[in-house]
Amino acid sequence: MADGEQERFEVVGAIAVYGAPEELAEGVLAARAAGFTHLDTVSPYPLHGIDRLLGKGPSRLGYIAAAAGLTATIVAKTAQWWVSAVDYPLNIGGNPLFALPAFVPVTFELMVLFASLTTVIAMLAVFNGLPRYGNALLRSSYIRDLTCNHYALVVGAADKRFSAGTILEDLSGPNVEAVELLRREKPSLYYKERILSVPFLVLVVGVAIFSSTATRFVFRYGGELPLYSFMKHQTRLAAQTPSSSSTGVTRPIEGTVARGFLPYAYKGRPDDAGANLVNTVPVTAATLARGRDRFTVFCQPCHGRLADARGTLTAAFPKAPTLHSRKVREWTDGRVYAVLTEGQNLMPKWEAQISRDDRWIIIHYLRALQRSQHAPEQDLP
Amino acid sequence: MTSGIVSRVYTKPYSMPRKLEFAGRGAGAAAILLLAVSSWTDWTRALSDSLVLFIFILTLGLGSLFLVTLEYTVNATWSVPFRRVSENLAALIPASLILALPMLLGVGRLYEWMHPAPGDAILAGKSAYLNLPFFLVRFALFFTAWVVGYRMLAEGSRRQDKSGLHGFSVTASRFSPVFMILLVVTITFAAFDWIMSLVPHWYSSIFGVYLLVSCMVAGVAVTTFVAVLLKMKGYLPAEIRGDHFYNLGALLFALNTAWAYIAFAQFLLIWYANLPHETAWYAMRAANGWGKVSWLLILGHFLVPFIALLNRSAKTNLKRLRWVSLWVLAAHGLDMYWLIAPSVRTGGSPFTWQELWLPFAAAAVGLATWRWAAARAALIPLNDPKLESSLHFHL
Repeated sequence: MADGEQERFEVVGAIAVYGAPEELAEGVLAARAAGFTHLDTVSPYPLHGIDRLLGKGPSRLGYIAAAAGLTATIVAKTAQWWVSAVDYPLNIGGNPLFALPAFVPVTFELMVLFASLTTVIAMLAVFNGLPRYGNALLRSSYIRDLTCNHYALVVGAADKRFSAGTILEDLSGPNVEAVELLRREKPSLYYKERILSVPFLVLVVGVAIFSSTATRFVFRYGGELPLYSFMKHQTRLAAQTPSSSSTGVTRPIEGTVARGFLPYAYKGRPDDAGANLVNTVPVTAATLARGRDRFTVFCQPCHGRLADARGTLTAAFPKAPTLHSRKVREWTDGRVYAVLTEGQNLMPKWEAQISRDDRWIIIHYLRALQRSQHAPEQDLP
Repeated sequence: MTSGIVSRVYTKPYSMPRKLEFAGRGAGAAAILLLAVSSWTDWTRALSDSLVLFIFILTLGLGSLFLVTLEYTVNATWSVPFRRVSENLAALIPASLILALPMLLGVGRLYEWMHPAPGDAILAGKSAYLNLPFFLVRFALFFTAWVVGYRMLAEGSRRQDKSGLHGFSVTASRFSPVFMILLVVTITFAAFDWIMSLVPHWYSSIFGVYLLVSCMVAGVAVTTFVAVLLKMKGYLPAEIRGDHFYNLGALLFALNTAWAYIAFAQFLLIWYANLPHETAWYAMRAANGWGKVSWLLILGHFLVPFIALLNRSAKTNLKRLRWVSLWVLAAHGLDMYWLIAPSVRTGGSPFTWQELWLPFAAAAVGLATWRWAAARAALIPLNDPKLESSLHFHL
C-alpha cells in the first residue's frame, strides 16, 4: 500500500475468518478471555446464542417499544376523550360520552402503530447507526466468503486492547483461516457521514413531491376513485324534486286542508251562500277594532271610510258603489261573504288576501257602519 | 438415541413420590367430604360446581391435546421434550368422562331448555337442537372424537418408545391437522351445549372461540407448570434449558393475551349494542357481588400474567414460570366458574365454603390422572426422530 493510500484510509477494526460456527464460538470465547470487549461476528445466517457468547446483554429496544406504546395509549385515550366528550359530544346509542370500552380498539391500534414504527426507526437509527454510506466490512477481501460459508470475528478499533500493529497476531489461532485489517476512507477527505446530508434530503423531498404528484394525477385523471368523498356527492334527494318514496317531497293526503283555510263550498252560487252561511264570529270591541283596521286596508280605498262610495282612489279607477243601499243592507252576512270571497263585477276576489275570520269581522264592521247611517228609532237614547 | 441418556431417570416410567401420592389422596378425601356436606346443604349449588369441575378438567386435557397436535402440525422442534408431558395430561379427557356424570344426571335441574315455559317461542324454535336425545348423542360424539384422538396421538407416541419406528411420527403429522380442525369444531359445539345453553335465550357467536382459547391457554399453562416442576426436580434431561422454556412462556403469554382479546371482543359488541336480550348475560355477572369477580378476572386472567411475562428474561426464568403458570391455571378455573355459576343460580354470594371442595378435587383428579398416565412410559418421547435436534435447541 502506497503512502497516499495510507493517508486516505483509516483502520476501523480487524477480522478473523473461521470455517465453522463452532470454531467461531471458540474464537469469541478466546478473544473475550484475552480482554477484548468491542466484539461482533459475521455469519451467512443468524447464529442462535452467539449474542450470549459475545457477552451482549438483552437488547434495550424493548424499552423503547414499551415507551412508545405507553405514549400511544395516553395519546389515543386523551384524543378520544377530547373529541368525543369535550369538543363534539355525541350521544351514541345512549352510551356514556367517555365510553372507555369503545375506545380500546383505537387505543390498541394506535399503540401497535406507534410501537412498531418507533421500534423499526430506533433499531435502524439508534442501534444500527443508519443511514450511512457503507460498512468497512464490504471492502474486506473475504466478504464473499462471509456471505456464503465462512464466519468472522470482528474487533472494533475502539477496543482498548486494539492496536493496529499487533492485532493480527492477537487474533491468529489454530482454527483461524485468515486475518485482515478493516479499512475505510477517512470521512473528512471525501464525504461527511451525516444523516441530514444534502443528497439525502434532496432524495427524500424529491420522492415525496414525485409520489404525491403522481398520486394526485392518478386519482384525478386515471382512476375512478375520488381523492376525497365530498359530502355533496352523497346519494340524497334534492329539494323540490318529486319522489316516489316517503322521504322526499310528497303530495298531501287526499282531503287535507290547511289550518284556517276551509274550502269554500258555494263557488258561483252567491244566493246559496247567502241562504246557508252564518257569521259565527262574536261581536266584541276587539273584533270590531280588527274589522275597522282590515276595512281601512282593503275596503276604504274604493268604498270610502264610511262605505259611502267616497273612496280615496279617484281618476282612472272605477267608482265603487255605496254599501248603504237597501240591497246591501238587506243582504244576509253570508251573501256579503260571497261577494268578499268571490268578488263581483269589477271588485276582485279577496279570498287569498283576507283570511276567513277577517272577512266575517269586516262584515261585522260593515254592519256597524250601516247602522251608523241608518239608525232605527230604538237606537236613540 | 444417544447412548448417554439411556439409563437416566427420564427414560423410565414415572413413579410418584410417596409424599405427593399421600397429598393427592388427602386432597381427594377432603374433596369428597366437603362435597358431601355441600350437596347435603345445597344440591343445585353442588351440581353447578360439579359442572365447573368437569369443564375445568376437560379444558386442561383438551388444551394439552391441542398442544400435541400443534407440534405435529407446524413440525416444531423445541417442544419435543415436553410433548410427553402434554400427552400424559391429555389423559384428563378420558378422566373427565367420570366427572361428566353429575351433568348427565342433573341435566333437568341445570338446563332450562329441558322444561321450557309454555308459549316460549324462542325455546320452541331451538328445540330441534336443544333436546335430551340429541344432547346425549352429541356428548357421545364429542367424547368419541376426543378419546380416539387421545389414543391415536398419546398411545401411539408411547408405543414408539418401544418400537423405535419413525412411521408413527409421519402418521401423526398427517393426522394432527385434520384432528385439529375436528377439535375446533367439537370444542365450539361443546361450549354451546354445556355452558352457553345454561342461559338458553342468550347467544354469542364468539362463545365457541372463547372456550377454545381458554382450552389452549389452560393446556399451555398446565404443561408449563408440570414441565417446570419436573425440570426443577431433575426428571428432565439436563440439555433442556431456558431456551426450551422460553417458547412455553411465550405461548402462555400470547394465548393469555388472546383470551383477553376474545373476551373483550365479546364484551365490547354486547356492551355497545346494549340490547336487553344480549346484555342480560353480563348483567348476571355484574349483580350480587359478581361484579367484583368480573374485575378479578380482568386483573388475574390478563393484567398480572401479561405484566409478569412481558419481559424476555421472564420467559426463561423457571421460578417465574412456575408461579405464573399456576396463577393462570387458577385464573382459568375462576373463568370457568364465572362462565357457569351465575347462569345456574341467580341469588346468593358468589363464593361460600361450599366451593372449597373444588380446588381439592381438581388437585386430586390431576394427581391421580398424572400418576396413571405418566407411569405408562418415559417422561420424554425416547424414539422421536426430532428429539436429538430438539435437545440442542437454541433461541
